[in-house]
Amino acid sequence: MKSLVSIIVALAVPGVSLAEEEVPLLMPFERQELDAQGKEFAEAITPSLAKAAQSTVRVWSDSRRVAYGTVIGDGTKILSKWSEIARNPENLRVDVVGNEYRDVKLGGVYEDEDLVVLEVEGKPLTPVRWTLDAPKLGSFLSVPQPDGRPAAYGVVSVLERNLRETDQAFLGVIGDLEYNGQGVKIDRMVKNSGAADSDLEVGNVILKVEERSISGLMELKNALVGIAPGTTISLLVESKGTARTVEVLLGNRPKMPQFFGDRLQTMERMGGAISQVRNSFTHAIQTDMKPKPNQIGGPVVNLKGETVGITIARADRTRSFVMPAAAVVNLLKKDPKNPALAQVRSEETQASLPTRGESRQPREMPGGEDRMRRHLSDMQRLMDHLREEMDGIEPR
Amino acid sequence: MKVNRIFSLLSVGLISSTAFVTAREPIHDLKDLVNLESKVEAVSQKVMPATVALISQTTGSSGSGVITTADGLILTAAHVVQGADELEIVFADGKQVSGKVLGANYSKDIAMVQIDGKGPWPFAAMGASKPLGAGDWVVALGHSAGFDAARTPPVRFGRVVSKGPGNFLTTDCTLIGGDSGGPLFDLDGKIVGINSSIGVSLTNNNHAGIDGFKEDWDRIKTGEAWGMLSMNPFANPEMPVLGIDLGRVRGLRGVAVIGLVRKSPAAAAGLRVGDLIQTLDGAETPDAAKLLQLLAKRQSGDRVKLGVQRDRKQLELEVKLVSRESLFAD
Repeated sequence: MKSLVSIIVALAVPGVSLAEEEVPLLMPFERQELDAQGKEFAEAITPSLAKAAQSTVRVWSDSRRVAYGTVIGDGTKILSKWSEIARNPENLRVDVVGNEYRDVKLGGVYEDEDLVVLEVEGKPLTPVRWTLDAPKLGSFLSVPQPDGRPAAYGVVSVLERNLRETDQAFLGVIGDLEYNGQGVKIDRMVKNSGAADSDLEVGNVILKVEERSISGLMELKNALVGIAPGTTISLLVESKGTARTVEVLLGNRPKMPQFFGDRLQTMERMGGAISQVRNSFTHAIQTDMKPKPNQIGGPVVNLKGETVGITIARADRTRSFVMPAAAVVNLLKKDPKNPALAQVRSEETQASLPTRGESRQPREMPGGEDRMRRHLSDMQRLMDHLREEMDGIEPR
Repeated sequence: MKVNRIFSLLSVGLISSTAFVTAREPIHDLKDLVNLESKVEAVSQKVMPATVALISQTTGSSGSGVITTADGLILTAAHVVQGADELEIVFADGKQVSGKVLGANYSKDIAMVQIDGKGPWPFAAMGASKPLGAGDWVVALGHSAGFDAARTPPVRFGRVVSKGPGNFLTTDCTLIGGDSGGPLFDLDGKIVGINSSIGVSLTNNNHAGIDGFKEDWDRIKTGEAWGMLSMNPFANPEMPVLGIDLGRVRGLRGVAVIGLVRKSPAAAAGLRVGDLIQTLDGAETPDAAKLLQLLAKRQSGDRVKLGVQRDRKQLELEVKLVSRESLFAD
């Protein structure tokens, strides 16, 4: 077991097994209760999956199941998870209802969203019908298996948002942590940022962003969320006892290396394998569903049985992301990239390398180091796969 | 007479299992799910404003908490406030205030923080954790991986997986670093637990039960800090005990009483050296390990019925459990 802030090692008591994987002190009657309830829940939710299951396929690469897919358009195309397929895009097939296999080939790739369009040979399949209404916070969502049983279910954890840092407006102010009063006192400004290019000065205290009073650094960050880069905002600042208004033209947030502690990284992987590309999506509903990485790419339904989106990543222990139907429909209006030229996003592998010390701009990596990263990433996935298999052996 | 006793043991078993069935929302069909969903949606909306991030400038750690009174009393986990006197409190919309750390019971991983400014603050009322059992639906919130201005604290839905050890309970609401100190709610939106720790399994997410606060309320509120963080329930000072030395008799199923501790609650209930404990609340105790495991799921103050064999006679004795800490305190 692991404390969420500090790790404390459990001491073994003779005669009492406290295996790490197991729930502490789980009694047989509790397990029976949970199993019965789990079965009840799965049976109750199954009718809502029937329709979308007809448009759900499993994608095979040689003899491995790599992803789920969603049948789109006129039934001759399938949308699926690019990074899972790109690793070995040979002998691609999908299985459809009734143990039938169909050969598919790569159509086009949407690199930013990590999605691929596959083309189906032969008779068209049943295309999905989208529902454009956004689900509410706490709403139930589920992922059907092609046979109509649930692959995963959960709730909307966070409403739709843009996960791509570089799409966020960037002010460029570094706050003074020693400062205790109302507002944010400027300690430093990032070179070439909107703040640095404006009339703001080090030592100024930012009191308002437009009409919103700013209590501290977190509220300043919050006030900038949802403002598009390129927007000019007005700040009320105080310097040496006098208040004045400063206009700032916001730029894009620069690409910054992500600093996840080793411990958080460990926790992210506690509970099973995760997707290789799992961040920076432009339209993402966060859910607590727990699909496996090879169950990503299929339709997501609400309790009415309507398809509200597709799964795009199993991000970690607590999160999976769903791309809402409206965003998928808009994406499909754009031309995908030729698969021969398309690449798999690699920021995830960068983020998974342990980083220490001061924040630095990411360096360009010569080929060798890049290959090393890929190998590290492959090894991680192999470990995940092993754990997954181990999970499969466990009684539940 | 013997028939009667067996009967009474059986009925105890039946009562506890029906209690678990009725305590949770039954799921028979989609309609029940829609009903359950509307409750989860309502809870998520209702409790969001009271769920806060707690950030320590001194230790750099980021956890979560929940406001439970209009004048700004925050409940959180002891390990979130460890090493800090002051904390920055951040609301879901980014609004930031400061607060003072009050007291903590580290053995239960519970603590309080008081917001500095005047209220009224949004708050969630406290429910009860003791009646919860496997299968009860719950909703967890917390600032996973630290405060993130781009999102509200993520909602997770699940159910109680297991009761214990002691005041703790385990759910399948998946938690991660930063969620610590965040609230666990029942379907009425009442606080029933505080996020504490995780194990590898997705169903191993541990929360401190809210009832643990009630017993220690005044001590924590007046700034007392005590206890120790321990993930081993058997080493926890809060571990409920009978106050006996455990032994065994070759060839017999049961735990032999080979000594009685001073001020032993078992002795007060009439237990003697030489007795053989065969059941606890109807569940068999073939050996010491099993007895300890059953005790770890109880809490101090709970009453348990021991099935005891003494001189070939069967007795039933009721013992009020005490914490190991209080038994050995002078």
